Amino acid sequence: MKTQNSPSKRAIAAALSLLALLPLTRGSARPATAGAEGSPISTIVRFENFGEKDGLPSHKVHSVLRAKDGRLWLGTNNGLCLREADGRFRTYGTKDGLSHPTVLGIAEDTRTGDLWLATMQGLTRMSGGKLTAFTQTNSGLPNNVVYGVSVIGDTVWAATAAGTGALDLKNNSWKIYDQSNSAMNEPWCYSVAQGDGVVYLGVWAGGVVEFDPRTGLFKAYRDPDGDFQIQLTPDSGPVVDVTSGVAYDAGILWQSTYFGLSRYDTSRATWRTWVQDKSPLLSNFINTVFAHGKVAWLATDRGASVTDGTNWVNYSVDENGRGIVRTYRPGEETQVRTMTTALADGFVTAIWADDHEAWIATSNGLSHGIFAGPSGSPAVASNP
Amino acid sequence: MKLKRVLLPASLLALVGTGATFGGFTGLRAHERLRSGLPKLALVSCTHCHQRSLKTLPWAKPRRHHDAPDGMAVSPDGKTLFIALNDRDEVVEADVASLSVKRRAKVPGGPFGLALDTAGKRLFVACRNQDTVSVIDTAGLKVVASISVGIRPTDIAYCQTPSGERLVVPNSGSNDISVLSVLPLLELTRSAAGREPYAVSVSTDGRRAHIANRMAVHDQVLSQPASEVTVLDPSTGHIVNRVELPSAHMAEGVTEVPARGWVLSSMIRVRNLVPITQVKDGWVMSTGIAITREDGEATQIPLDEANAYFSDPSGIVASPDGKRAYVASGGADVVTVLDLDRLGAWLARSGEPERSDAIENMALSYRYVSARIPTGRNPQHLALSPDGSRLFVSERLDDRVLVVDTSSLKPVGRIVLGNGGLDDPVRLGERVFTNSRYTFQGQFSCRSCHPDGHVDGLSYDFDGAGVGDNLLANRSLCGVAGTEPFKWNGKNPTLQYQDGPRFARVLMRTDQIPEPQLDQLATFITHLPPTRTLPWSRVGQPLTPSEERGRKLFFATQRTDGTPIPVGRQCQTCHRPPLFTDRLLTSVGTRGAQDTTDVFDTPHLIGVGAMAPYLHDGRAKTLEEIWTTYQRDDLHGVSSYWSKQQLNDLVEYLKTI
Amino acid sequence: MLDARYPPGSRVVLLAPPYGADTVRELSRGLVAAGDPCVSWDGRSVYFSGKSSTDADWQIYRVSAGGGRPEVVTRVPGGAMNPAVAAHGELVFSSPVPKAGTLWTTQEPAALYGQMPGEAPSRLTFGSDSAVDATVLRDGRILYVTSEARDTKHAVRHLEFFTVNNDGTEVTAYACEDGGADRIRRPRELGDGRVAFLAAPAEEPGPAGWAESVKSAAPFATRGKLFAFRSIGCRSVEPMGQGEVLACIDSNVGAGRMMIGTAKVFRVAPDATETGAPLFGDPKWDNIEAAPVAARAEPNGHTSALNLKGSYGTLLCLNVNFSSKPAAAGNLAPAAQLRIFTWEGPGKERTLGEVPVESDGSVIVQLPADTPLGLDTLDAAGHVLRHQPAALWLRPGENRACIGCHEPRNHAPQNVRPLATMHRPAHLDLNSATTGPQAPKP
Repeated sequence: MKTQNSPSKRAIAAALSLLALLPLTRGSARPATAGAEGSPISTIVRFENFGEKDGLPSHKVHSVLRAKDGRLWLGTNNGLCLREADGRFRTYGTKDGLSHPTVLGIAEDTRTGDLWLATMQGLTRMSGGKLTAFTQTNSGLPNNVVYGVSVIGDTVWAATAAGTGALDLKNNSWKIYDQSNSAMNEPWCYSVAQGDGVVYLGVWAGGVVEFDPRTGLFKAYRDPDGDFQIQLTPDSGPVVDVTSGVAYDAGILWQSTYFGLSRYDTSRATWRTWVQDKSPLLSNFINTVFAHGKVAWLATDRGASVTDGTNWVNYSVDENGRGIVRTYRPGEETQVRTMTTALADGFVTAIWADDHEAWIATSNGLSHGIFAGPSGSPAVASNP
Repeated sequence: MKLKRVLLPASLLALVGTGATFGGFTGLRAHERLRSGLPKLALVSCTHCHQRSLKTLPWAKPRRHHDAPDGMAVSPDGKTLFIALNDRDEVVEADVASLSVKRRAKVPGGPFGLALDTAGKRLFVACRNQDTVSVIDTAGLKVVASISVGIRPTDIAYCQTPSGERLVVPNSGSNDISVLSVLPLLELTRSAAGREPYAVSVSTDGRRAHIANRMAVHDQVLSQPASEVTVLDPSTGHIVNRVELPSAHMAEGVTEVPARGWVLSSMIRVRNLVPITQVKDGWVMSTGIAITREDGEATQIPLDEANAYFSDPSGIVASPDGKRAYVASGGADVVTVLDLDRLGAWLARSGEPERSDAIENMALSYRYVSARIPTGRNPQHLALSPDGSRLFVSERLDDRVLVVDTSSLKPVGRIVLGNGGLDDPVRLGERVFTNSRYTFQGQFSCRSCHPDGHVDGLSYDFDGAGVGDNLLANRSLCGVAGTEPFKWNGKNPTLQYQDGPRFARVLMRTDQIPEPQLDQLATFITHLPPTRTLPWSRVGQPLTPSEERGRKLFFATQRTDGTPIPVGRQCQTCHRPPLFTDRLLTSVGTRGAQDTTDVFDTPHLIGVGAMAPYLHDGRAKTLEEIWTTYQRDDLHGVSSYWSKQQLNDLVEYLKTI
Repeated sequence: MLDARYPPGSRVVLLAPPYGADTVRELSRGLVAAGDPCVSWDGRSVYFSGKSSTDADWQIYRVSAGGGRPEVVTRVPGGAMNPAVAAHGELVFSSPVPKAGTLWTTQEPAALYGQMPGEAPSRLTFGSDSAVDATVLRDGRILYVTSEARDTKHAVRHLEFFTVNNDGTEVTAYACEDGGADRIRRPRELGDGRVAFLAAPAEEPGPAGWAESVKSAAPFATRGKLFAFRSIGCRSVEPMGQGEVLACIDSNVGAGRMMIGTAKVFRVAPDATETGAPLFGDPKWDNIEAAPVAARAEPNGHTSALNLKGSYGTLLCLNVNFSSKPAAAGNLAPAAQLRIFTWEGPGKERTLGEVPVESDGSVIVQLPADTPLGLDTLDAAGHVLRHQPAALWLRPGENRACIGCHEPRNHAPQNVRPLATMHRPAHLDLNSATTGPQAPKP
């Protein structure tokens, strides 16, 4: 159910969040809308939550994307969902051509406006309101279980349970990359991300594989110690090989795993790793990661976490259902405050965010994270 | 080459000699059975395997070129008509007042679609044969710029948008739409269309482009097919809408009617799911117009009458005042004039049930058809002067452009481009191919199901001994020379037999085509070259690594692990180069529940990448499905050892044949 | 019936320009009566109905338009009438010739026959009512007059136009199903997209008729007057080319009965508002019919797919629930069974059996050929929903389909795969039929 706060409540929430975030507001070059003054991390001051009562086809939301035209798309357990301009949700299901009701990933081809959907039984293209399914039997898609999708130039990349498929949109031809012809050690791929001229593939037990389409060469980034229980060699490679997601922006590659977080600075070729016990990381169990600028949004089993690698803001739900926000800044005490609103659920599955808002998919609804405005008041964030 | 010429006959002689020595034909038959993998094969001609070179086939030989008019564009002042001559690689500039040709310009690549800029200073040309868009400076009538687009662009539209000038180009061969900026000439986006995007029309404000897609597609072979009107924002290149037109296909024309907020597209309403027990009452197909509104709602209305058909509707234009539309019917040699006021009134007073049923109501069109203008042979493209006073009709197979005074609907005269090519038997055959006079009430022509000689992507249930047991996929006529016998049952030894008595009985329901015309038709068909499936830039280029791997798989005689593949299950045995068919009946395990046989003619594979759907009844939507969904017991080639990568490689190779 | 229309002394004559009485040349020499002329497509021959003696049957004769003695081309028991010429010189005629006033009541209805040159005639129609006044359309179909079986819906028998292929297949209603004068005859396809015919309120000899037409573009919706002027007394219309019509009109007829000896031949221009001067109007001649002798485009032929050695045809109905007429007693239930019966005489129907209807309303059934067939759709309780009189037949090996029962005319099928085609057809036989009283009508 969508949570609407009264104006007075919103003012209080804004004031509280301003107080809570004061420690984070010093010395940042991020735009004012990005968060409390100076912080590179945008800060959510309030959540609006949506569930089946609001028209979502399922309370389980797996993926979220705000397209370039401003429309919000959700991949749920029961179909693809569009939030219409009037705020209502419209669902597209298998009867409309969706290859499977469970939509795990959404990617936009920003040049054509088409969406590509990763589902549990194939890849689906949404174009001009029409859904077209690509499956392992009717196309060159390597496998029907598609975990992630990305559109990079003229190529749609689909991370599947049997390799990553690359559909060349101009030639309508498929290539498959797996352990037989790439640096992957196994075919199970979870995620694809666009780097600067390269493609990053998140391989389930194979770390991150970098592919350079110009040369056709692959390079694998693997856990140096090869152990996912302990970190013998931190900050020297991926935290573990078990990759749940990869994301890239502004020269930074992020790897999410179920055993911690990794960050690769491509300009310096340096790795950093975080595990729950030794950092502010909210949970080692990270479903996926979303990169925006130099910031990573982490979808964990205990809430949403935002970090630039130095500062952290973690959003969780306490045992009473209250929203808790924890902020970390090096050399300062952790700030903890209770929010007037909370995430729809602590088990976060996907996040999309920009400088103005965040949309957080959970296993029990969708949360709209409203950022602090320039003066600390909630930014106006609504769908077109 | 010389060695081959000597060795082949020598080998044959030796073979025959061997056969004579060891039991006459018994040895020869044993050889054929061994090499074909068909243990019960009766003695057949050696040419099933030892085929002639492709170079000897009619379609590979030099042919005559003609001055057939294709796309046209009228200058803003209405005084000049530009005409694309695809077959000549030329664009013609004609003077409307004197009906004379002023200049001809060489435009490489097969100019087909034309569009002028607002001032009439630049002519944009979609060149179908070489996948380019060229810009012609109309002052000098010379090509000043050119750019590659998708495969086989067939039309082009120019518009001005808030983001600048744009060109929208449907690429019929690659099933996508290019959006170009003009200054500089760049391809901004290439979006997926329906199947065979063929014609484009842009709104006067440049806000929307509508693209008519010629082919219908279906989810399953027995589900209703639908073609698409693709709606695109020329400014961004984004697809805005895809309007489905159920059971509509062969949409070759589209036009905006700004005054009414309509987009009209010509179409054939096909009824391929209904057994062809009869032709009358539009049982096989009928023609119509799809009216698409801005909100995406579409209504299909008939162009035909209860007892007469106006087959192969193609070009369509609307008068500037929105009161009339003109539609060229290439198979009937007619331009139909629609009274849009009457049509609008009918739509306004009709409820949804009447509108959705309209296309099946063969007695409806008299309410809004105001005239039928007879034309020369095979009118396809239309153009209208900016003031709407002159209608230009490309009489393709007469090499002329008919000019009609729209106030009287009488001909003003003709712009003569060539002599009609009456001394060219191929051209005469094309006249038979494109004309519907040979079918009952003129309901369809050969072209209605074989656009450009190719497939229409549908399966039809032909009349036979029973009803509903003869579902067969349309087969391409392109590159069909030398692949006899014809039809899936292999019963037609010649094209003359297939297109003569056979079709007269099962399809046309008239007298068969007279023999002289039948011979001309067969000549035309054997001169149809295979469909090009690769971009022009790749023609003659080496195979890619993936294609090369696929080629090796196609010609494999053993599995990856070294296990031999039985001769009869090797791809190359039945699909033997150079025709990629052994012209024999073979069972590949595809007999359906209602099929009366399990052996089918081996189709040739030249151009197979564009022949979807596949298998005898069209059950396989894609090449992949042949082996992923409909393969049984390795009967259609041994595929059980292939990885998905190998299947993809094979598909990539097949698309190059 | 021809005896009344063409009494002894009736002749078929040729008029040459300037169409005066002195140009008349008799073509039916040696016959006691003749009429019903029909010109071959090449314009070289004239077929007509003739009688060699007062007691002889009417038969079809052919004579060269250039002159000579007529030769008999039919020798069928009961006589032949209404000649028409189809493609490849095939003669079409009706037989037997009923006695005057019995055409629509006779126990021996006239059927259409086709006869290729030098061959025996073959029967084309098998309905329960007479099939007469055939003409051949340019598309090759034979257009003729009949009544929709022995239906009791009209107190006075209402005649309609039907078409059939020249092998007897695809019998189909063409026009004049409802409304208008009940008696229609002598249809002729004009060159302007219309079919002209004569209409009258009653059978001849009766009140004078007039000329009407339908547009072939929508024949069921466009019945109207042929001419812009009053045409009561019109006896024949024939196309002349260029939109002109050759009409034989007794312009002295008022609202009453036809007067003998006053009909003239007119050449009527398109859009004419009056007949104008007659082409031929000699008072010594009572002109019954007039047809131009000229070559015209030969109609299309039809390639038959019949297997005349067989005994059955197959009927596919796409949706028996699709109808332009409401079901009996407003019953909205979908049909569950289709009952098929044959006609064995007035009031005597013979049920062949019932076949199940698929959930989409489709039915496929193999039925005995060359016998009149009627259909009843039944609901699950066996109540008759719609009754289709025995106006249909199948030829041996014919695969026949329809889109519904009493379906809207000139309607194309929806592009949907009928479920009934997914299995072999049911089979009903005359041997399994049960004879009984006529099924109760809805």
